[in-house]
Amino acid sequence: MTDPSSPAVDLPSEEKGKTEAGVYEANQFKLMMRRFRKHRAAYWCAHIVLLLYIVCLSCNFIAPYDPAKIHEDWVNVPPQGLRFGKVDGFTLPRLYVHPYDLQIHPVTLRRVYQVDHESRVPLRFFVKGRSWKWMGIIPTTRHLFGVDEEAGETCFLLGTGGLGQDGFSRILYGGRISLLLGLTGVSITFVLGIMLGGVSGYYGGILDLAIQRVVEILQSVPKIPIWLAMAAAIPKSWSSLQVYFAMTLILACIGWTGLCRVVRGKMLSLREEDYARAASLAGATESRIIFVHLVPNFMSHIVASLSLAVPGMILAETSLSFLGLGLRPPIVSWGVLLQEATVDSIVNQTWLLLPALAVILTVLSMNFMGDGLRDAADPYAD
Amino acid sequence: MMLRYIFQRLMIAIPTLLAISFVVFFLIQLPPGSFLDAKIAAMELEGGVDMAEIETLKNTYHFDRPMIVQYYYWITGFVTGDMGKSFETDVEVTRTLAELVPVTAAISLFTIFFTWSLAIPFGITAAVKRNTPLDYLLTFVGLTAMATPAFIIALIFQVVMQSIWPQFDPTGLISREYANAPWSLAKFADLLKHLWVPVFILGVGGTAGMIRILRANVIDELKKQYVLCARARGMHPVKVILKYPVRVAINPLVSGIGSILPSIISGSMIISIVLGLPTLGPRVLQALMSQDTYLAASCVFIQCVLAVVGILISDLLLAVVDPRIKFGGK
Repeated sequence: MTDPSSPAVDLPSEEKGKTEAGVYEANQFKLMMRRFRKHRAAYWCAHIVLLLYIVCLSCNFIAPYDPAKIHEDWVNVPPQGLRFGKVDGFTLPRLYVHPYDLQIHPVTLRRVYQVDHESRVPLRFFVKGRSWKWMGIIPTTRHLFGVDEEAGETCFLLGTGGLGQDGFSRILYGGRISLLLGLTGVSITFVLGIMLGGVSGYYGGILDLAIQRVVEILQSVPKIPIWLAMAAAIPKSWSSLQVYFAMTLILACIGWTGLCRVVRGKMLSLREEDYARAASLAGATESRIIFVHLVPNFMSHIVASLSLAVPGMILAETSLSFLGLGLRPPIVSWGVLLQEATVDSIVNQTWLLLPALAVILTVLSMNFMGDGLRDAADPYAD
Repeated sequence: MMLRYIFQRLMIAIPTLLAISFVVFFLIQLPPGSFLDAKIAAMELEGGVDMAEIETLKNTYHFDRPMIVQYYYWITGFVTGDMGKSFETDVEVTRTLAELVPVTAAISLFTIFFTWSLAIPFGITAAVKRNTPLDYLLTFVGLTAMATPAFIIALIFQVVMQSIWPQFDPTGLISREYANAPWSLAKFADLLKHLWVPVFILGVGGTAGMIRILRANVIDELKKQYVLCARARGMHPVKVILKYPVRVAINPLVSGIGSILPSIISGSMIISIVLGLPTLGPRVLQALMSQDTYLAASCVFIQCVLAVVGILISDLLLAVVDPRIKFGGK
């Protein structure tokens, strides 16, 4: 009953399975993609999601600064807007930013950053900077863009935080963690759901009973307090990598139950099909029947429902990390970045809310994409 | 038939709940060390360790016994209504609950009321006027609200309030001058003045989600032939919609009542922590962090009980609302 678009009463699962097997006789993925492409908003949102993943995964190359680097002189700097125009000494127009003049307020002694409209700092492309490894193998120091740091130039496109760390770079690096956390969480969900659901549905009997009881127990446990309890149980002494994997497991181990039920239901109806029996008579092993003959029948459904699970995980990570229960610095994730956003800091430094914008954009486009995929996977669509 | 069904469900629920209680207790005990270790460490910092006090604590709460024994003491106490005391404050868990649950429940019930009274008309409107600018606006606002974490809505709300209404403090539930005053009409009015903030913030996300569910369901129903038939017979268009499709489309909301029950206590958790509301959420979080086992386990377990009962209630209600669903059958 989690699927809001399905009619209130499902058909008996056996009947549904049979019709589906008929419609999806061959390459259901192609059919699904054809329908998906017609769903314009979802199709474009899928591109946005893809772009977000590409940008955030190549943060080492795109981000101009090291996310942990502290610029003592540039604390809480407002965003330096990217502009396009002529920079002296160069004939063609190019991208530039206006630099800031650092002044100390004579009375309050606070730092005041005044935009210097006269001078222009051109962005340089493929500059040398901190070293990183391409695909984790080939060492390089090239970055997509940057400025002449030795001449004291800066380009904080999205401002800096309370420690003078570049907001743009941190959002990219944070995105890598947050987006990957959603993806790894879903992969674990996927493996657990398919394995346990498949076994439960295919073999039935006492194994089925045991697995279904566990699923029932997990499903009747309210999510938020259990998340909090598990997140609070992560020892403080763990390294950030261990915490990261623990968080992924926490998020995944609650989500797999729904998938397990779906897979079990499909399995129950499909294992009686003639082709399953034929495969078994031909001497195929049970794991081959399950994964080669049965699972592909409802793969498109699973992909759709999983794509709707990713944004939920990203939101959960953000909330938990914001409360200080999830990931902790020095790991940078969107939730960790938002720890800096308090009522007092936002009033003066609105740009500290930008990571939230990244979260909203991601979740929004993922939801759109997931909705579209689900509609496309539904054989009763049009 | 119905009584037998309820009985059957209850029989299944009891072992389920026992298993859940064990999982919850185990989970809370999972972090290394215990409250006692932390207490001894704190005493060492302050100077001498009072061995006598440690001994009493150990004896009352069975810290030296294995976990399974501690669990046994807790669950037997829980069943008889004695939930033990909080290690930290030495206050009975039942008293803490009696203090915090009414406020928590009030916030949640108001939120549910707010959500439903907005979502039902808007959801139906969006479905009937689908693919019009109004529908697009509702869909866009709804999706954005759903994609925004609740704590961000709370933050933005606080910042906006600070600039347009600086005298108003959106955090907390009761103004300082009433904090220790006995309950009176003025205090109640003060509570109401603060209550709408969490209700609004919590309601925004929930309303958005519900509008989308309702819209999808009503659209599904509008395509059905009985709607066409009713229209052809010359029934008033508004009546057609309210009488047939809406009645079917409301089913998922009815089945959602079950999930509302546990959320009456846990729904406002994150927002309460952000806004500093005196509800169960922040208290449970603190108890979890300091391994205040009895308090944390009792609170989390009560929510689990509510969840199990809630699922049962929603199954029963669904059968009442939708006569096509039969008890026990699949």
